[in-house]
Amino acid sequence: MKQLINNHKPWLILLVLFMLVYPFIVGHSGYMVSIFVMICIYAISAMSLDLLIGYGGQISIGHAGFLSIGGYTVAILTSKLGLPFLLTLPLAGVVTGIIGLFIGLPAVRLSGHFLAVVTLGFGLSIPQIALNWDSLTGGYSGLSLMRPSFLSSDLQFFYVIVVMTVLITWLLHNILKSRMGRAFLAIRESEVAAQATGINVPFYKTVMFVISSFFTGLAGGLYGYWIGFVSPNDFTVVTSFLLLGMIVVGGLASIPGAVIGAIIFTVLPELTRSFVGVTNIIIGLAVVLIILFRPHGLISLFDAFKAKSKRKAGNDQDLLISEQEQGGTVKDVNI
Amino acid sequence: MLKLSDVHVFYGHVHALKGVNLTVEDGKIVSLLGGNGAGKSTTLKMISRLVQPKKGNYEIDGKSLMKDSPSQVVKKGIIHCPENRRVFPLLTVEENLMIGAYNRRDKHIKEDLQKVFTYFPRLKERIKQKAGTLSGGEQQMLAIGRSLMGKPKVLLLDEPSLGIAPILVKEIFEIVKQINKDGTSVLLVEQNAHMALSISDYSYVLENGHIALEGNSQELKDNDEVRRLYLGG
Repeated sequence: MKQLINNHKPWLILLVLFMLVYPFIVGHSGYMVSIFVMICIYAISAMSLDLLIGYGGQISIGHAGFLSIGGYTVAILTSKLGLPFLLTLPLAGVVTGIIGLFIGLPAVRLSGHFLAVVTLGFGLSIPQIALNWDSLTGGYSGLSLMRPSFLSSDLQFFYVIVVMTVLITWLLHNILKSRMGRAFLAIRESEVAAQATGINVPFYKTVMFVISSFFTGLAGGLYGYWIGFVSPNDFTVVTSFLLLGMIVVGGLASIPGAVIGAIIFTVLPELTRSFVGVTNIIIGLAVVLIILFRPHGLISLFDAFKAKSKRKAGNDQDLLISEQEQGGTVKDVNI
Repeated sequence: MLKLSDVHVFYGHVHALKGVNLTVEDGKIVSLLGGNGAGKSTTLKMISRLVQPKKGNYEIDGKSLMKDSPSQVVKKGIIHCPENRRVFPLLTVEENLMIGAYNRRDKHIKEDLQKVFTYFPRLKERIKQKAGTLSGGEQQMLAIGRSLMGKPKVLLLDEPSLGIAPILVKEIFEIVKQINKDGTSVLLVEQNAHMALSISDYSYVLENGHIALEGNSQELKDNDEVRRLYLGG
């Protein structure tokens, strides 16, 4: 937290302040608060997915499965076992993290398309399992759960979600800045070179999956408590693709990028809701245009702006990477 | 001292190394020559465990490495600078070098960074540049620099001259000599037999997966067979 407070970036403090007073700005409108909460939940998931894809270079198109597991974990533990909130929420992360470990183990051997198919299978199967395991998940009718009495109002729980989002963002930021973050980047850039420099590649690939699923599971748990109900249709494979869209549109390997993506993919459907039937067309068009004109995601707008102001200051040393280089990463040949 | 005894490696059914015996004495440069597909790179990859040996033994200072993983091999001071440079293209020069020190927790990392810059002043000029934007020769320097950041006892150098302008090749080999003088043993794999024989102390010639010839580099240079096969007459 110290780092956040002593931060030299005033906009960050402004952002946190904005989050704290948001319900009052929108006059306690339940609709607006709920949009904000969904942005937070998607932002946590998108950042976690970005750790895996953007920083670690391991693809997953089944991340909604982790959200589901997080949601069901809190629902089952609260409604069936009556465990308290302070225990169930961390457990949502832990249980999802353990499942992530099992998904991560094959990732050690698989990469690229094969990993994509494995994670896709995972994402597809979770809603099916939830649907058919009646005794545990309530099948079609889902499970409802109650928030603890000290967090019963939406406003109280809104603050829980805001605090969790800020905390998780800060944690992910620090993980990515740490030694471990450097190992992730090295693995993404070249597995052979990473291995030759002594990075334990299988270990870190598994760790990536565990961290990513842990935080996504927490997001799923928060979702469960916010809605008070989980069902098999909450997070389907479509959600997985949306999460993927968020990080690509926002900008890969960038925490602010993932957040921007989450905002766009949550707000845009709400804004276009009145155009019945064409919502998806508008979203699709927006995504295509963004990718076409900003292939490195919306976050690159800020980079371009920064580079411009730097150049004005007479310092044009900073080389912007061309697209070609971005795509021209040396691919490991199987040895 | 790095010592390989009777090492066998298979790629599927292909018997790539058929019992290689080889020793790198402390403080020496040892070169490994041979034609395409003779198993030179495979030998290095086996030592760093990018590929797995099926039979045999190898050890550093008497400690066997047969059961080690790649990261454990690095921790024991054997560092592989792989073929085709393999720098991390989207990371800066500095980040690349710091990743080289990944397994170290001592306080001398900053000093070693400066040492790398005295070997390769060019890297210092480009410290904040993305590695992918460097020229081929500079990327090779970076790859060697990155290996040095891991404080190797034995440096495994795979084809440092590959695709690099002749004048830079000379410069790089001069630096390799200097690195060796400063106390690092080097096992060098090289197509350019002339260059390799002139900077190394001892050489092995690999043919079809086994050592066909070995000897002092100076003697091998005068050996008729070596002259005919690898030095062009």
